[in-house]
Amino acid sequence: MTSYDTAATVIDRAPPRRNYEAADIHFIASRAMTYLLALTACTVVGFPLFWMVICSFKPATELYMSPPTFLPQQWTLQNYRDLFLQTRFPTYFLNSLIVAFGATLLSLLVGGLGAYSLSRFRFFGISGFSTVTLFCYMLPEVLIVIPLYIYVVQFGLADTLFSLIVANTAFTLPLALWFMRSYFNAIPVTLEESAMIDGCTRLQAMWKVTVPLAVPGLVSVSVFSFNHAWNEFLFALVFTSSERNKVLPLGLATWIGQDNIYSWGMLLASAVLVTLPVLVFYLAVQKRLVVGMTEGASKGE
Amino acid sequence: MARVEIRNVGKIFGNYKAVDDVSLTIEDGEFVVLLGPSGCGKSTLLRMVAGLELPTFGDIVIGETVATRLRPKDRNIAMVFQNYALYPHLTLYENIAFPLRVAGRRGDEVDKKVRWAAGLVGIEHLLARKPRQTSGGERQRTALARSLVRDPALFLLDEPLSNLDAKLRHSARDELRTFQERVGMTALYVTHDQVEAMGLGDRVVVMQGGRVRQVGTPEEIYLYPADTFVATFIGTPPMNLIDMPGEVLGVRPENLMPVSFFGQESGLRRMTMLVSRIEFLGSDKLIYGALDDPFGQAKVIARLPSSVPADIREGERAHFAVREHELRSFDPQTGLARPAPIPQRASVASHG
Amino acid sequence: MAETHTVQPGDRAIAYLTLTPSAAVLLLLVAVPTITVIGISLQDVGFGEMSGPWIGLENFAWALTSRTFWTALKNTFVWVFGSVSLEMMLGLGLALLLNRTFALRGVARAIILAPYLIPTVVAVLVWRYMFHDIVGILNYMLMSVGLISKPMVWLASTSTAMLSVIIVGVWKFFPFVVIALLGILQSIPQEQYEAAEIDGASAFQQFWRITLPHILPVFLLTALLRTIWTFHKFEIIYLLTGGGPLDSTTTLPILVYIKGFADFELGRAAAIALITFFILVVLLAVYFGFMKRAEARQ
Repeated sequence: MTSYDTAATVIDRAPPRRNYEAADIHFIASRAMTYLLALTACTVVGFPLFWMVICSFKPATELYMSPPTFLPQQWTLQNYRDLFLQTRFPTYFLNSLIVAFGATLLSLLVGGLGAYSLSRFRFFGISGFSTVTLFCYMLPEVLIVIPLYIYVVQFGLADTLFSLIVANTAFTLPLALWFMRSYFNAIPVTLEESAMIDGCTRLQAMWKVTVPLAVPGLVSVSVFSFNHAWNEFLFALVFTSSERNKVLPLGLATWIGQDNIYSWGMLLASAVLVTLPVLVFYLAVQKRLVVGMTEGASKGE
Repeated sequence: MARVEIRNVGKIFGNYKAVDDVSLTIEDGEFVVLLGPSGCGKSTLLRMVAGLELPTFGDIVIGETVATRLRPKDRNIAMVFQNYALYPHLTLYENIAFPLRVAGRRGDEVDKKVRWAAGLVGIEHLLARKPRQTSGGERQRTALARSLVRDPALFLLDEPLSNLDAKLRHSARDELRTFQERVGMTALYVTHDQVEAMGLGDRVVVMQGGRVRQVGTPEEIYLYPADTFVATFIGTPPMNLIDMPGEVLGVRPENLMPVSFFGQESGLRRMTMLVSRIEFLGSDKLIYGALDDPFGQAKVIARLPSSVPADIREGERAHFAVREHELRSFDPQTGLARPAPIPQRASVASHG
Repeated sequence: MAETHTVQPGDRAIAYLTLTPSAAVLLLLVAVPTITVIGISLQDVGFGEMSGPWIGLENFAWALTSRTFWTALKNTFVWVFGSVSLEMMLGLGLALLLNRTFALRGVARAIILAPYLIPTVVAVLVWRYMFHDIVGILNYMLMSVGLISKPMVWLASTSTAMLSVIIVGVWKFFPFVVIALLGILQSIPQEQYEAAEIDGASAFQQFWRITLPHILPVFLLTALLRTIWTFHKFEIIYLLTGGGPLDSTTTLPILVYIKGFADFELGRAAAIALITFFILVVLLAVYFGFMKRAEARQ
C-alpha cells in the first residue's frame, strides 16, 4: 500500500537546492562554441552587404583611399544626390517597376487559374502538365533567348518594355503555377465541397472560399515573381538598348563597365537602392506566411 | 423534408469497386445511419447522395426528382463534414450566413435566420469569433447551425462527432438526437462507431466491402444479425462464433452464463469452458476460455454482471449454458443467418 | 494523392478552360521557341541575319571541333563542381548551426539568408568593389594579415578569375541550401535524439546515424537542383568577368551569348545552346527520377 504521509514529510525538508545548467562545463563550452560560430558566419556572410551600405555614405576621396577607412570619417548623402541628379537612375527604376509588376500580374492571373486546375482536377493530361511546368522553370534562359530575340525583332518589339514583360513571364509563370498549385493543395477540398453544398457553383466556391484562403500564398508567389523579374538580366541585355528603356540591372551593368566615369560611391548607392524593394517585399511575406490561415479549419484531421 | 431513394447505386474508382449495387430508401423524417469499417464505401455513398461524386451506376432520387446528375447546390441538402469544413476566413456568423448569402438573401432575413440557428445549437455568444478561436464542440455546433439555415430537404452527416473527445461526444450525441426529434429532419449519418449508430439511428445500414450487409432497427441488427460479419462487427465484445459440423453457432457474450444462473429453466444448451482469464471491468466481468467438446475447443468470451454470484477461477473448468432461443445459427459456407428458431422476432421488431 | 476529389458535370470543361491560358503562354514562350532554336541550329546564319541556308549538322560539327567549345565545357564543369560542392558544405554547416537554439537566432538567420535575396547585379557590384586591386578591402585585409605580399588582380588574372567567380557565386547562392536543409532538419523528431542520448550515442554518432540518413534525400535533391541552376547561370559570370580574361571563365551559357549577340552567329550559338540543353536534360531526368522515388517513399 502506498503511504498517505507525503504532505507531512515535505514540510520538514530544507528548501531545495536549485541546479543550474550553466554550472556544467560541457554546457558552457557548447554554448560558447555555438555563439562563436554564429558570430563568425554572420560576419563573413554579412560583411559584403555591410560594406556596401557603409561605403555608399563615404565621400569620393575616402572611397579611393588606400588603405581604406573602415567607417566613413565623414558621412555624406552626396552619392545618392548625384545618382538622382546626374544619371538616369530614376528612369531605370521606373522601368524595372513596370516590368516586374507587369510580369507578376500576368503570371498571377494566368497562373492562378491554371494552378487551381492543376490542384483540383485529375483529368487526362493534367498531372503531365504539372511536370512540364516544372521542366519549363528549369530550362536554360540562353536556350530560348535566341528564338525570342528573333521574334522580338520580327514583330518590331525590339527595345520595348513590353517585350521584357512577356519574356519574363516565360519563367515567372511556371514558378507561379508550381507554387500556387501547392498552396491550393494545402487548402482542404472539403471547404469547397461544403460551399458547393451550401449553394455555390464550382467557380463561386473557388472565388468565395479558395481564393481568400490562398491570399498568403498569392502574396508570396507575387514576391517571388517580382523578385525574379526585378533581377532578370539576360533578356534585358539582349532585347533593350536605349537609355530610355533600360531596367536597373542593365543600367547598373553598363556603369560597372565604365567605373572611371561613374564613381564607386554612386554605384554602391544605386546597389543599396536596388536592394531596398526586395527587402521590403521579403519582410512583407515573412509576416504573412506566419498567419497560416487554414490552421483552424483542418485541425483534427 | 423529403424521402430519399437510392436505386442500385454503384461506384467504381479505376478498377476498385467502392460501392456495389446499393439500394436503400430513407423515409421522410427518418434518421438512417450508415455503419461500417473504414473503406466499406459508406462515405462514398454519402458523397454520391450529396452530389460530390457521380454514381457509376444507378440513380439517386430526392423527393420527387431524380438527382443523380444535379449539382450539389441544386439538391437542397445540407452536410456536416467530419472536420466541419468551417470557412477559416469568416466569422461564425458569416459561416452560418454563407448559404443564405450565396442564395442572394439580404439584410434582416439573413440576420433573423442566423440568430435562430445559432440559438438552436446554443452558440449565440460566439458569433463574432473566427473558427480557430473556438473549441471542437463549438465548431461542430456551428457546422450544424450552418446546415440548418437553408431548410434543407435532407441532412447529410459525415462522422460529425469523430473529432470530439469521448466525453463531449457523449453529450453531443444526446443533443443531436433531441435536436433531430425537434426538427424532424430526414438524415443520413455516416459513422464507424457502433455506439453512435445504435444510439442515433431509427434504422442502421451495416456496410462492408461496398455492399449492404443488413438494414434494420438497432435491435434487429443486434439480436438478429444477418450474417457473421454483422454478428462480429456489432457488440463489444463481439458475438462468439463456434464452428460446428454443418453450422456456425453464434452466442452473445452476455447470454453465455453459469448454469446455476438459469435455475430450473429448460431449453438450455450446456457448454463446459476451460477458463483462461478473468477481467474485472467494474459492472461486468469478462471470462475468457475455450469450450470443451462437442464445441471443438472454440475460444469464447462470456460477460457476467458483477452482481451475479459465480464460483469461477482461472485455469479451472466451469459449466455454462445458453438459452436455445438466444443461439444464432449461420451457414458455414455463405455466413448468412439461418431463420431464428423462436417466434419472438415479431414482438422485438415491432417496437423498433 | 489519395485524397478524394469532386467530379461534377462541367468540371472537365472548367479544368481545361482554366488551364488554357497557361498552356498557351508556355506553348508560345517555351515550346515554340525550343522548336525554332532547333531550326536555327541547322542553318548558316550570317552576321546580323535572322536565318540562312540549311546546312544540316554543320554547326554542331563546328562546335564539337572548336577549342573554344571544349574550353567552355571544361570551365562549366569547374564552375559547377566548385560552386555546388562548396555551397553544399557551407549550406550544411550553417543549417546545422541555425538549427540549434541561441539568442538572436532570427537575426543570424536573416543575415545569412540575405545574399540570396539581393539582386545579382548588386552582389556583383559590391564584390567587384571588394576585389578591386587598389581600393579593394580584400587585398588590404589579406595583406595586413600577411597572406599575400602584393595586391592581387582577382578578376583580371587567368589564374584567379574562376576562383573569384566561384567565391561570389557560392556567397550568393549557398543560402538556398541552408533554407532547404533547415526545413528538413527541423522535421526530425526530437525524440529520436533523446532516445539516442539515452542509448549512449555521442554527438557525432547522433549526426551520423540520425541526422544524416534523415536529410540525405533532400541533401542530394538540393545538390542536383543547385547543379542544374548553376549549370545555366549566366549573369553572375557575365557581369563579373564577361567570360574573360582569355576565355578563362567562359562557360557554355556565356559562349552562347558571345556567339549569338557579340559575334552575331545565331546558328552556331543555337547549336551550343542545344548541346547545353542536352546535358541539362540528362541532369533533369536524374532529378525527376529522384523526385518520383522520393514522392513514392512518402
